[in-house]
Amino acid sequence: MASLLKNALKAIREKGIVNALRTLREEGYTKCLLDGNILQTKIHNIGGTLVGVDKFGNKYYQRYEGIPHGRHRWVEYGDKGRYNASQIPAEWHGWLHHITDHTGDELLMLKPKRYGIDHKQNYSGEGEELIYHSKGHALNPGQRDWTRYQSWQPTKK
Amino acid sequence: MALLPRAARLALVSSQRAASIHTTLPALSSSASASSSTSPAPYARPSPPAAPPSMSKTAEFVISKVDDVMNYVRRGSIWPMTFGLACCAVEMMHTGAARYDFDRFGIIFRPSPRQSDCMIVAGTLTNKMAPALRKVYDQMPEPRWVVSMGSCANGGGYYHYSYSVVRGCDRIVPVDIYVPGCPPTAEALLYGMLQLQKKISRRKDFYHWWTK
Repeated sequence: MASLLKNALKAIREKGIVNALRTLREEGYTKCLLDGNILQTKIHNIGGTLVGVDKFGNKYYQRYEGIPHGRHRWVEYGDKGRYNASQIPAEWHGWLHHITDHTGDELLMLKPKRYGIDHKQNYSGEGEELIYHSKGHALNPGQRDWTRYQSWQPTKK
Repeated sequence: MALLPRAARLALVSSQRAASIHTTLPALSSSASASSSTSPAPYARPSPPAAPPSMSKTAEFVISKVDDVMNYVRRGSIWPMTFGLACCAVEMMHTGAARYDFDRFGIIFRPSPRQSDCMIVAGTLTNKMAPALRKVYDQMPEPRWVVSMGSCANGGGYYHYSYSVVRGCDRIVPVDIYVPGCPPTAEALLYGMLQLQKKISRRKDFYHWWTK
């Protein structure tokens, strides 16, 4: 706790009070007060080692001493407002759930360049235009006209 | 080889003749520019009706806040009716147990339909069980939600072609959330319940009642 206070004072001295407050907000410390999940993650982060940060800003931590089994690896979401488990990309998901010991940065090197697509979070309920629709889906905006015939329309007499 | 362009030309001519007869052009024979203009009919839902002009901004604000409070209370205390039918029920128990802990979201299993507001259909729904499922659903008070858990409840799954299995519990009750998997992990069910919480928080009950 003392080191935390010392770090905070150091940050204020280096950046000035306005910038320090801004970083405080961006890091989600102001959200802590209302959101218990973020507060708990912040408390959990003390003593944890930062293993990596993905391109969405999610931070991955681990700590193996003095922590109950099953809570060794955890994530602090980059999105502090509407965080969601589907925001974690596939390569880090494996590390986070102890499927593999390779970190996401290591696994990212194995990702195929030619056909590997970007991770996309689950947008269910956020709006139809955000959701992935497959090629033949009725809501796909680029849906092709598969009609191969013209129905007979009688001439008016 | 020479026959192919000729056939194409013939098709073009016939299509032009057809255009003089019919009201619309055939889809195939028309050129690229024409085909792009004839896009298929959109299936998007109609946009929700706008607020009636009589309501002021302040009233709308207050009503939406009342809705928010109602949704907050509802999503914070989902009491699911346990409908464990098969192996999915074991995963449902895992989700309720210490490690994943439904209790921290206010989700407490309530083995009585009269006092529950969500039903987790976990497992294969057989023809024999379907009337009981519907009866239990009918006994639940409004508002009520249904979570279909696992492939069998979603669409029959492995038993889709069986003579005695309902091909998806959405043939019996309206389903809000489908959780895929065979069986879904405890995490997947937890994620589904969080999605249900999100869905509940989008409700506008008071607004609809007020503007009715």
